[in-house]
Amino acid sequence: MIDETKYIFRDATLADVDFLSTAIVEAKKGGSEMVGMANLFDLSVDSFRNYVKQMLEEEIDGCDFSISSFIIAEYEGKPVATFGGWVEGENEDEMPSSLLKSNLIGYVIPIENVQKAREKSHILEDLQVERVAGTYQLEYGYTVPEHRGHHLIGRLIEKHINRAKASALSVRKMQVLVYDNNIAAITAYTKAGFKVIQTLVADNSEILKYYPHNRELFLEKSL
Amino acid sequence: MEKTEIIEKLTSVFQEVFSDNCLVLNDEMTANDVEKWDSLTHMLMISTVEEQFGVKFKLKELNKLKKVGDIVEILHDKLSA
Repeated sequence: MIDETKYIFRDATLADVDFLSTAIVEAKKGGSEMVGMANLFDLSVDSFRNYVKQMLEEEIDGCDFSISSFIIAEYEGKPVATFGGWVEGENEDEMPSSLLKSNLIGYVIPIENVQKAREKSHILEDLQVERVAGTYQLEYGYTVPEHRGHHLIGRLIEKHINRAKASALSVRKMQVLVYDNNIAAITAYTKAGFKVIQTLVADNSEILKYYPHNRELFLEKSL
Repeated sequence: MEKTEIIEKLTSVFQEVFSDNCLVLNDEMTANDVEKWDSLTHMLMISTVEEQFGVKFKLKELNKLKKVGDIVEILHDKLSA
């Protein structure tokens, strides 16, 4: 029996990289067994997880693969859920998260695999969103199976809202991208006050060879 | 290596990576100014620059390269050292 009063919420640290790398891989599956980014770079899931771990260990702030982006829900000393989030452009060099992420990927993943991803990149063109500087971006929400149903994602979003409000920048919007067949995630975001602002559809049928789904929703919540 | 020589060589790299033989570089140029400069071509551009100029960037250095002028400056520093 899970005692909900025992959940502790805290910022992620280097000690969490194993849990975070697994959480990112599981979140990327979006309820399927496919890890699109691993497929894109022609990597096994285990190799991809290992590269994610290496990227997290670089401790670069301000993007999807930044330890400092993640808040952890802990139960009896063990991490059981997490959600990442950052203020777009709020980092040491005021760089867009997309370039920080590119630099991390290019730094740890072999160039041959980057080239393979480049060859397939046309299939993803329709799923790109613009992350506007000063918005709060959420990525990679994940709860281990035995702790689902305890509103941990909703509670983690609340923690991120507090972070957003404490930012030196005047953050007015929080945004998240989700596959449109991930009903559990969409329900959690809707309950938290998010509304769909954009539907992205990749018309290229080739995408389903590599990615679990070809439709994404871009949701937004005003703060 | 002189800056003019760096810009000339960098122009060849950009033209090849971004598949645009007419691309002319300027110091203020960013990813927003080049049609095919996306997250994946960015990685290839950095890797090609490292290979062509015989340098290796640290991650912290990469995260300061916002515009073409930043790349020229860091290459000039590294190749003058």
